[in-house]
This record gives sequence, structure tokens and C-alpha cells, in this order.
Amino acid sequence: MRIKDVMTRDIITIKPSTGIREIYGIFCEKQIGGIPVVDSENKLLGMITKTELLNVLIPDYFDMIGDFLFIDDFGVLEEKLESTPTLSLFIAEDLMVRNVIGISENASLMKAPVLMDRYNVKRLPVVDSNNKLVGIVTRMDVCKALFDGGH
Amino acid sequence: MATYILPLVVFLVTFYFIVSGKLNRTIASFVGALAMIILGVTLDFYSQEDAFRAIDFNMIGLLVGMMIIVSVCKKTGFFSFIAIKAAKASRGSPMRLMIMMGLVTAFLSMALDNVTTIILVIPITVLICDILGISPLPIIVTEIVLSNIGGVGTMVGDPPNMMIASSANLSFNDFIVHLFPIALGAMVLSLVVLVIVFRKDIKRRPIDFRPILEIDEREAIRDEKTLRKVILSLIVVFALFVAQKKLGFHHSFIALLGAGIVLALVRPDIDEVMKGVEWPILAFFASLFILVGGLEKAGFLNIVAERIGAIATVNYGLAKISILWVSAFFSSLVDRVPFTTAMIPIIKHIGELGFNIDSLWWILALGVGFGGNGTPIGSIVGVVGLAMSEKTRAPIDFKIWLKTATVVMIITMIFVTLLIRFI
Repeated sequence: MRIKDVMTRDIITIKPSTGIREIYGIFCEKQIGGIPVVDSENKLLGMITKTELLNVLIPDYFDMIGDFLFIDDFGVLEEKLESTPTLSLFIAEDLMVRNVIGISENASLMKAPVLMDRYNVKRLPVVDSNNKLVGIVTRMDVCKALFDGGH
Repeated sequence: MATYILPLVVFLVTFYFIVSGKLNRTIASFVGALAMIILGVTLDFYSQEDAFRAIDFNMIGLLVGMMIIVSVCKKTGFFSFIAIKAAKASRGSPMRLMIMMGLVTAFLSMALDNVTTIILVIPITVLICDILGISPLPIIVTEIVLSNIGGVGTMVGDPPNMMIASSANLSFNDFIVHLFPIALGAMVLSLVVLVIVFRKDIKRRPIDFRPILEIDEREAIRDEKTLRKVILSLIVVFALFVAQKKLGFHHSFIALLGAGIVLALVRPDIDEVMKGVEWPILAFFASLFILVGGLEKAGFLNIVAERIGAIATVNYGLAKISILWVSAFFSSLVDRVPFTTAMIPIIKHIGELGFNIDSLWWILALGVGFGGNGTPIGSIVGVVGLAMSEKTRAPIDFKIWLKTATVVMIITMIFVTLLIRFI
């Protein structure tokens, strides 16, 4: 079985310029965990999951500090985060994970769980030979193929 | 054609690749060193044995020993502990915070590697500033500038000092006597300059200092046992450095002994420790030694030394000032290590011409050390610090640097120039 036989074709995509509130709205409305970001030609640019939304709260330099969780009160930093005026300025381009692991629509189904395991992701965008996005394959899609013999 | 033309071309081409960043500096210097050996063997001015002997293994060993100690130390949370303690001592005044953090960075840079110090101190500084709601920019600039200045103060503060110590056979105490007081003076002077240039940014205003006071800095220490052992070995290392002349130990032996003590006491995962040793830098240094060794054997450095000697015969003071400012000029624009590597044999040759070169070693160290603050690319600390500041809300750009750190560099250089008769 090939990826294209099991993938979800009807997917929601967003543009790099989509605002953070709209992205939040999509997560509220639909039962999905990740949204692919595509350009005008439907080429895959990146992915946004709820983790990326949460990461807005984390200043860029935090990954350089070894350990700071012994600090209880983040003072002004915390106040700013709670009422951050710049929050609505974020767009998909700022948030998305670039260089995402995609999978070819003609790849063997076996490859999906291998890639998910190796890169610790829960879903893979599916692309055709021109790197255009044609669908998404999730853990449930693979499970369905495995246990129910496909759709 | 003079024999030194082709080796000089090899050196300059390599140098171009190192400073332009077109090629990773380790790869550039490594390939350059190989080219120098091939040229030397072909033209019969530089043998493979010469190249091997050109590498200053005493200096490399010193660096490896210190890197191993730092590599174990950096995971203990010690730097965060010190930074938070310093922040508390500022009692909520941005100006005092700037001074405290600058001094802490300077003293850590004297004892340990500058780049490691900066990498560990800047993030916690930014966090402290964010908690207080003040701009981290003046403090980051201060830390970078004082790291470079502090590094000049001791033998182990910065690689150029280690190189000078090893090849001129100068001891830790020699550096304490000659450079430490000047570095202290320059630290005070630069803090004054920085307070003036940043006066608007560090104006006292009501800030809520409680969150910082509430932090228990002891919780920053993740591994107290290891930290105690590291501190013990550092004490042993510095005690041996102080007694070095009497004991007759090599610089590298003492540092490696310290590393041995740490490894034996802490027994860390050796692969992890070795990852903290910067092999690319060591390979870079070894390659530079080979490159410069080729230039020396080809007779080029002799010629430069004779030119400087000619100036020195007429006016020794002028020769000293020229070496100081040329060193600072080079160091502010390009990596100071290749320059220092080339200057060391030149100064030795000047000594062979009959001049007293004792003071020239200190002048070289001061020139390349303080000169590093001239531009953001003048020191690795500057490059790394600027890259880190880009992750904050107030990144440091070239213009800010010119108005602050460059001013400090010029004023500290004038300070040294005024003192030059006593150096």
C-alpha cells in the first residue's frame, strides 16, 4: 500500500501571512493537530502545531540558559507575556517549523511510522513529485490502514 | 625572487580565507598549513620536522587543560549562581547592575575562558533584565567589553596570553605583576566610560526588585559536589601557577594536572567532557603555528623584525607605541590569534638584534587584548555576544558598538599609551 491510498486529502492549509489569531481559530474549530503552511503554488513551506503557538510565550534566548526553573517569579517578563501587545503581530511565517519532514505520496506505507518515530512527529505532510502538498498522513491514518485495511 | 614571497602568499591567502569567513577558519588554516609544508619541502626551506616543532604543544596543552576544567565546571550552574548573586548586590539600580555584571564577567574571564564565560553569563543576564523590565543591551555590551579586558589580566585569561607565556617562558606571576594592575585600571576606566555613554539607558527609575531578591541563587547550582571538586582543582592549578618558577613545571603540565584532578575526582562521562574541549580551535592554533613557522623559516619574519629594529634604534619608545597600536588595529579588525602567532617570532628576532624585549611581550598582549573591543568582529567574544544579543528585544548593532565599545577601546589604548614608559 502507498501513502496516497491512506492519506487525508481534504486538508486545511494556511499562507505564510496568516495571523496568529486566525491560526488559533482553526485549532479551536477543527479537530486537527497540525496545519501545513504553503505558498501560492501550494508548495510546502512549513508546519504549525499547537506547540508552535505555545512557543510564542518563550523568549528566544531561553534555550541558551541551562536551567532557570528554580526561579518562581518572572516579574515584568511574566506581566508582559500575559498582556503582550505584540501577540497579534505574529504570523504563520514567524511561528512555523521550517524544513519539515514530508513524505512522498508514492512512498510505501511502511515509511510513515518510521519517519514519525525517527523525527518524533505525529503527522507527515504528503507531497507529490513537484513538492506540492497533496495531503497529510496522521498516526490514525496509518492505524486505520493497518487494522481496517484502508479506508 | 626572494624565498619568502611564495610562503607569504600562502600565508596571506590563508589569512584572507580565515578573516573573510569564506571558509571555516579551522579548515582554512589546516589546508594553509599543509600548503606551507608542501611548499617548504619542495623549495627546501621548511621540513616536516620543522613544521612539527613549530607547534607550541606547551600552549596547546595549557589550553586543553583549562578547557577540560571549564567543560566540567560549566554544567554545575556555577555561572548562574555568580550572576544572580551579583544581580542581588545591585539592589535594583540598573547602573549598579551593569557594573556588577561587568566586574563578574571580567573576573571570570581572567580565570576561565572568555567565550565560555560570555555564553553562560549573557543569557542569565537577559533573563534578569527581563524580570526587572529593563533593557539588557547596556549590560551585554559591558559584559563583552569587560570580558576582553579581563582576559588580558592573567596568563590564562586569553589564548594570546597563553601563547606569549609559553613562547617567552613567562610565568603566571609575571602576568600578575605586569598586566593585572593595568587590566584592573582599564576595567575601572571602561566602566566609567560605559556608565557615561549609557547614562540615559541606565537611569534610575522605580523598578520592582523583589522577584530577583526572591531567587535563591543556591538553587542555580545543579551539582554542588562536582562544583566543589572543580573549585578545588582550580585552587590547585592557580597555586601551582603561582609557584611555577620554583617548581619548574611547564604551563601545560599544571593545567593538565588540574584537568587530571577534576577527571579523577568527578569521574564524568568522558565523551561529554571531550565535547566541551574545542578541538576545532586547537586544530586552528596548531595549523597557525605551522603556517607562521614556515614564514619564519623562509626568513620573512626576520625582515619584519629588522625593520622594527631599525625604528627601535632611532626611538625605542616610538617602536613600542607602534607595536601597541598596530596590534590593536589588527586585533580590532581580524582574529587576534593569527596576528599574535606571527608577532611572537618577530619579537624574538628583535631580541636577537640586541634589544630588551621584556616590555614588548606585555605591549603585544595589551594591544591585541584591548584592541579586540574595537569592532564586533575583533574578538570571538564580540562575535558570540552580538549573535546572542540578536535573540533579545534589543539587539546590538554596529552603530551602537561604535558609540560604546569602540570608544572604550580607544580610551583604554590611550591609557596604555600614557603608561607605556612604565610597561
